[in-house]
Amino acid sequence: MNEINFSIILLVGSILAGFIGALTGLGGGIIIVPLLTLGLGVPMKYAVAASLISVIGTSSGAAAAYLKEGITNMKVGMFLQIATTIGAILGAVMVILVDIPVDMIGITFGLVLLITAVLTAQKKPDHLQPVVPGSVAEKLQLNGTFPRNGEMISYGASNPFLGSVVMAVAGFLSGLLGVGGGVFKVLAMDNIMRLPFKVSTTTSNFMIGVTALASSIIYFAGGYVVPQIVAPILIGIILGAMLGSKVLVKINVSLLKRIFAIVVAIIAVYMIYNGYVGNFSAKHK
Amino acid sequence: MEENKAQKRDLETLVGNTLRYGVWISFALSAIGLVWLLFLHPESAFAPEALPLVPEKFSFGAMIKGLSAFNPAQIAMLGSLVLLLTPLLRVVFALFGYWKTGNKLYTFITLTVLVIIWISVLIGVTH
Repeated sequence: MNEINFSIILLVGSILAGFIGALTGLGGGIIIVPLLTLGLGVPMKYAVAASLISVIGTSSGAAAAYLKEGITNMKVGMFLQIATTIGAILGAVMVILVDIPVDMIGITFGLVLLITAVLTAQKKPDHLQPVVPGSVAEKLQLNGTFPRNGEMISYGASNPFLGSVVMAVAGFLSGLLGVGGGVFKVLAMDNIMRLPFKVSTTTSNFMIGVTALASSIIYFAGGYVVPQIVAPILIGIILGAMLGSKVLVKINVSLLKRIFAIVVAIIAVYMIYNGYVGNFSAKHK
Repeated sequence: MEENKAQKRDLETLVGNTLRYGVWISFALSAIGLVWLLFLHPESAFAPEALPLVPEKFSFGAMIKGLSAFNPAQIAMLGSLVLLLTPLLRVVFALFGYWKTGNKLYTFITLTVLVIIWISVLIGVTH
């Protein structure tokens, strides 16, 4: 393919991925990896590497805005990051060193997308747990406060260690598939640690970047980051995310999320099918 | 206590600004590198299927050599590298904040995260 056309397709696709990502809270990886592998014939490992870079772009771009509001619970993020970064390295090691079949990665990607579609369509719980004096969470300094209607609300955290286990899985999937794994991170912080929804979303965003860093180093050092692929994605994802956050206040996000859940489910089935018939490995011999 | 809060706010503003600069520098380097690359070889083809199964490892030497020769691909590559460093900066800043406020537990936890990231570098470089 002509290099200019290749760049333009990637640029447009990434703007769309960044735009939808900013609106739905799902990372761009969900769109980037299928577009690269099935759409443009890029080998899986290069696609995962490029997608991880786009995940960092989304995270750092959004983080600059979130941090100012003081909602992100840095301590919860840092504590759980021990688990996510270990998981992320294991995920990248499976792909680069163990060299598991790329079709298996494709099928796993599809299955994770199916779960993502279901979780996205569901309404998220919003918890406000009281601070329990003497609890493990208190000893780990995981409780926090966030502003609501002009006053500071205190909240407590539950089950930090069970939360860590789920986070390790989220990190593993991130390193394996090149996605942010934000859905699983929010799940662990909402359903298991019972943090307020606003806190879990912004904290998850902080963690996605550091998790993607831990695995993308291995892809980057291995030479799987190719500027011809990554540059247009990086540019597109940042532009798309900016556009998305501009229109975020003006549109009905819950309807959009349901529509996007259906799209994700379709991509999921398509990925599983292509992995099953061996198309990911066939494209690269 | 009040002093701590003001310190924390200053640090958060510093982190926010550093992230913003990082993202925009990375954006600019990628855009310059890509446009330049396409401008130099407007007719060239890119065959993603032809990418090697096991590529050549990344080397700083090759990058510095490419940059000093104004190689556009290496300029774009530097853009990716800058972006890669932005989350690391957040962790380093947090470490500084915890250390400054005397929070031993979180100085230790944050150091642990940095060690894990360092292990990732070691795996990446040696394998």
